[in-house]
Amino acid sequence: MSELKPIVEMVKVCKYFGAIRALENVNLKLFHQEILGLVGDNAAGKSTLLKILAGVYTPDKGELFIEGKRVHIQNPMDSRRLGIETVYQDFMLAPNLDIVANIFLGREITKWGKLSKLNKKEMEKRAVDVLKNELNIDLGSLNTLVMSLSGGQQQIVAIARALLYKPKVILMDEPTASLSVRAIEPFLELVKGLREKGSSIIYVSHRLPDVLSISDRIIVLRAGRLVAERKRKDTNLEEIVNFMLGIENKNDRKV
Amino acid sequence: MNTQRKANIYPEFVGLKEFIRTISKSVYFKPVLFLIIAVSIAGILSPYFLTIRNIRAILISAAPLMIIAVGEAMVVLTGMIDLSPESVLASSGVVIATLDIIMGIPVYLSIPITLAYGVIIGLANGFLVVRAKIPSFVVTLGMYWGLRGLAMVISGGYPISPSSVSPTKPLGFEFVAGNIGNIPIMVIIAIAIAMFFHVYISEFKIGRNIYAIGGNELAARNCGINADGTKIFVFVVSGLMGATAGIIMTAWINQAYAWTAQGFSLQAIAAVVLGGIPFIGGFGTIIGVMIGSFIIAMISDIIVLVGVSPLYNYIVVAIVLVLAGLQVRRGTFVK
Repeated sequence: MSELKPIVEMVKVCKYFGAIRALENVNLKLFHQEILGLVGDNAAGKSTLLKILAGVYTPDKGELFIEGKRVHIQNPMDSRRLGIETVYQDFMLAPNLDIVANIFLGREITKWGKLSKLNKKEMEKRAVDVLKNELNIDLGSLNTLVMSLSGGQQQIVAIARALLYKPKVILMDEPTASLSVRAIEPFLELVKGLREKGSSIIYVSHRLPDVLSISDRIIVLRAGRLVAERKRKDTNLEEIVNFMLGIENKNDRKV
Repeated sequence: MNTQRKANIYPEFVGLKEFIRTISKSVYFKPVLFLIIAVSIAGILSPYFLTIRNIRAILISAAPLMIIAVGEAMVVLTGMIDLSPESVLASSGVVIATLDIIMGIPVYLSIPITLAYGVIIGLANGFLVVRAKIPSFVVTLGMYWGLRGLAMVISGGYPISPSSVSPTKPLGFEFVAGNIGNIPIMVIIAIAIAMFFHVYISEFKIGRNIYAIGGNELAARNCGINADGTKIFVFVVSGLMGATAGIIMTAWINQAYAWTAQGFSLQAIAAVVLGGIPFIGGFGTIIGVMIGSFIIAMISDIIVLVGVSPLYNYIVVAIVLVLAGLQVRRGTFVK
């Protein structure tokens, strides 16, 4: 959080699904090299907000800015082109393909021009590079089919895919939901490591202690509106929960 | 560990187990195993089975099925299904016979026009599934009926053969049913088509797209794969294969008939399943499907050789198919 200009800014963003106001006038700023925790109860709008940045939804009102420039994100490819990558809670992997194929899914390295012959050697090289150098993790043979991997390993593959083109922003939507309890702690360390390497991360999760342990700032959504924004060091679990549920703080407590 | 202790006492058995385990992981293992079992059984049942003449006859009867099965395999790999190939075949035969025999259009035009007809049917199937969002089962079932009907209407219900125009007129494209040396051209065409598509979907991006859609279509779409375009493409291939098979079959039997190839669509699907492609798609190879087509053709052959009534053909296919279905089981829930 070294610069004052945000890398991502969402201004007065609204999203409606028929009569349902999923997001109402939400303002969000994500700064360089910070982990922004995004929390809220079910149906608060967290996933919707992330999906707008991921290109899955388009906002009905409001504006999006990436590094100060106004952008229109119509589909997931636009989002990727802007340097935004998403890690989904159910991984979005093809279980019948191997690790390398999944890391390069949709963005395969090809040769022979329009004929698009797969350059399998080059993809394997790059996959090894991402796993070893960026993530420092050994998944065994890269020809293993993803469906043979554990939940934690599959999550690594999804993250490796996100890191492939050195994204500026990583969106994580409930990334620990499909992980075993044992896999969560190493995962959180990995996310902190990504911040050290220069990524800016929006981290959505129901697991509030996790969010509190890794976030620099936390924003709370309730019924589609942004109701609170706090620096991590200025808040605590009880205050966050109160904001999520809409309970007034009788005593102003700061940790 | 247990394995290590066993290794000290019986090292040769551990080595064998490991070897079998490794090759059983290959995608070609099950179809090849099936082929070995089928050929062994056939060889035992009849001494005439393993003769060049007999194998040649099986390959000839397998050729149109193999061609259609390749198209079917591409569709099933994405998780969809195509019930129309036999009707594409029959109607394409009627189309080319009409163009060639009745209208006198030269071969260098009538063949491309017929192939284009197959492509158009494929496009129609593809767009109805992808844009109108009608399930592939329903769309292709409709084509199954509709194209048979079209064949009947065009041909008036009668076979179209060169002799209906003049007793000595040849079919313009009878070379398709000829030989190079001792090898039938239609077998060469069928194997060439299968090998081409096998390499195409293994080594090129379109193949990656096909397998990805079969594995997890939502993930594929989210990663930017053009799922709509890929699905239309596989239907176009299937239509093209149906037309190709129709041309070949018409050349082989020297006439076109609206009722040709009844049951072929289901045989193609059986060949696909035998070849190792499950209905959910995403797994299996074209070479496996080649083997599956050969096995299906083998069944009717061996039944005749053994002297069993050909009426038992369907029952044997049924037994083989269910056994084959056991080896392509995927997933905890089955529909």
